[in-house]
Amino acid sequence: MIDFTLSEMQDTVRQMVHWLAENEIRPIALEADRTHQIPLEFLKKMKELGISSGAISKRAGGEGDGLGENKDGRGVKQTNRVAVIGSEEMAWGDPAVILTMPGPGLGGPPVEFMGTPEQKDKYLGIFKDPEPKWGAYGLTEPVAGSDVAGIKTTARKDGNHYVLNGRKCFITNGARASWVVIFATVDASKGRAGHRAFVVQKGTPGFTVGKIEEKMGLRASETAELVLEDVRVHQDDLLGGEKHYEGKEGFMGAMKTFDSTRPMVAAMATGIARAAYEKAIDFTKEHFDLSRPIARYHAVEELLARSQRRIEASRLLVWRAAWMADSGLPNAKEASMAKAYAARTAVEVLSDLVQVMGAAGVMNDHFVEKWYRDIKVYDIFEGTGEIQRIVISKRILKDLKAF
Amino acid sequence: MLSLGLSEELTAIQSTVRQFASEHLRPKLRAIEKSGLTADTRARFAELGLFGVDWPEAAGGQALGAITRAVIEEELAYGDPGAALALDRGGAAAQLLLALGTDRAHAALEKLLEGDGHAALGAAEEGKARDDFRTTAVKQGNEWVLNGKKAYVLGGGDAALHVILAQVDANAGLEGAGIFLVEGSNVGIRAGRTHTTLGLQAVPVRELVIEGLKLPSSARLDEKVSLHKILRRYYDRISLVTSARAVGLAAASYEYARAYAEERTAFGKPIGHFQAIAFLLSDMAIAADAARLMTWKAAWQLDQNQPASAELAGAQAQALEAAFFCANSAIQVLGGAGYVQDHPVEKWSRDAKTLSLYGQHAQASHAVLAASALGRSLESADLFPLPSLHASLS
Repeated sequence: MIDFTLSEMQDTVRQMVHWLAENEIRPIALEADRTHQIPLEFLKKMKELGISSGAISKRAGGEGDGLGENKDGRGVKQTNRVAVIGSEEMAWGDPAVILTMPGPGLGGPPVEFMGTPEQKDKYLGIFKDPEPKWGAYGLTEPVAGSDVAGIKTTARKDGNHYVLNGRKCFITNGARASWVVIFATVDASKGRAGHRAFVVQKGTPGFTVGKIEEKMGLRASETAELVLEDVRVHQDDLLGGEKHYEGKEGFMGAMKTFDSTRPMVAAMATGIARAAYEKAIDFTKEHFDLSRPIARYHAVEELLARSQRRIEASRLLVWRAAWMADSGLPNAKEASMAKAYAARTAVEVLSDLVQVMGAAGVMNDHFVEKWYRDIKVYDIFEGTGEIQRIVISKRILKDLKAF
Repeated sequence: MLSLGLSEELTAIQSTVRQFASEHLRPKLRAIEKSGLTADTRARFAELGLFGVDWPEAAGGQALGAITRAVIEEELAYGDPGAALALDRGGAAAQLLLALGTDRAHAALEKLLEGDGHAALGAAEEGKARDDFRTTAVKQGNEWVLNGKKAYVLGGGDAALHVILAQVDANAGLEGAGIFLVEGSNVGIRAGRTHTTLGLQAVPVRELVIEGLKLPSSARLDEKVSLHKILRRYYDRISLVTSARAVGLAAASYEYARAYAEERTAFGKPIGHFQAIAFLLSDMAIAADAARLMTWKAAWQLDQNQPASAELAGAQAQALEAAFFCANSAIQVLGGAGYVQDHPVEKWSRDAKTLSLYGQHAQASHAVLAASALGRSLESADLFPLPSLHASLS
């Protein structure tokens, strides 16, 4: 059955998140970009409103995502569809600010999926605190990212402890996080089977913040380098405990959770492109050249119209991937298609819309200049466009294992 | 409830059409391009009972809706886009009659459905510089007399039913024009020269010579309706069909190139195992899927009786972009083999270009989208000043 109507819950989430984006996030975005800071009052307010960068289960003192049991009108769960609809609206507000929302962030899923009940209480329980707090996810290293097998950070067993050594880079909220999920290898010769995930607390001796990156965009978001020098982590902080890694599923299971984040990232790219498109529409109505609004020129219409339909196409690819996930259909290919298309489209759309706005488009008191800088990374993080195309290629061409 | 799977019923229709297309269209596409459809192929398609599937019951149709039509057209075009066009006996003329939606128009459609002839629309004119058509209709007593010449008429001259646009009131542009119905043959209407065309050659594109064409007063179909409004509905309807065919063309090109890239080897491995080819194929797959989703969304809106002009325009522009990209990329993947006529991809590339000139062309689609976004009348976008082509009315 083809149906493009949003369920009541999907539409409610869309409206609520849009309200938040318009009234709370958008107003602080330009200043946050200039100062590379998010005002503490804003973060506290988000905390009060119960906004979290990741769902926290009820047993850990959170609200839960409340969506697991929530079904659409046909009795199909709608977690993924709600997530992408919310993500688009949130990013419409501002892509940098939303990365700093208090909560476990990308560190949440591995703790939720791999953690023991005690670990969930311990790490997710801190978000009960009325003060804003963050978790983080430390996988990427200077020489390993999407190719996880290449990670060099080591974990050596020493009595009841593991001793960690290595460096992590490009870690979102890495410096402000109360804890970071650190991926390391106990035996590099074993590849993925040798991988372990640890939760390392801020302030653990030997665990330090290297440089905070200066970036092209997303400047309000903190991107940190983390250094691990003989960091002693108790075996209780090995996510899931020793047993978890005996089966094949342990680490791979955690990686699988990221199939559902690709449509969300694609939805964000769509939201940013849409925000810029709306700004450009307003601009072209009001700005005159040679006695008519510039929107009256076909060359300008072309750019606006092409942007509009490609944004719509991005959204539909995202919705399809999310609908498949909700319906229990394998969606790795479709998730990557959504990410590959939406991210590249958003980059191109932003470039076109800056062009439509001319000089105003490159002034940093207009949002499109900022979003033009912000958007590029959407074709890079959570797997570059090239990685997405590798994922797709392997699923459309028989016997293709690797390039 | 935001659900993107086809219903069981539609899945069954889809697989029936896919099977028909793979047996009767794809293997014969060069013959169809050269000489048109055979009577046998037409008869086999007629057996499926899918002509008029989306027409209202008042016109003898099955009222199964726009999504059903889109799925069928995609599958036919997946077999071959030229054949899909030729199998549509109603063509642009039927779309205009459906846009009119009057009892008289429906009666003409029902008659077409019951017979086995085709309909043709005489609208565009070569060298038309003003808003007025050069073809004129003059009332003489109880009769209309039409004179003029029409260009780019698909299947013109030997059609069972011609629909002709002619100027009734001079200097009044479209609002002074009328829509005239010519049923059966008539000494006042005949085919002129046949154009040699770039693609979609399964249907001949002809000039239509109209000399002293006498019609009863009831032949005028559009009295008391705004041609601008009808035109908008007409373009919307054409856009849906064009989008679906473009998606089929894109998907066919992608799949053909993908299969070839698995078989053809170079430097010791299938060419699909080189990133430059694999990534190109990935982008082709994305383009076809995105265009299909856009087409379904627009069709769904039509079926919900929601305004859909902008969505249809967007779907058409997206789908044509996908068709160009996939067909041209398929030639590239096949290399020299793609350029010669042993494989269909060079044909599909020519077909894609031709498809983009059918009805509302890509620039006009963008004008509709922009007009919609900027809160302007969509009718003004109809008058986008580009040369008219077959099935274009303005």
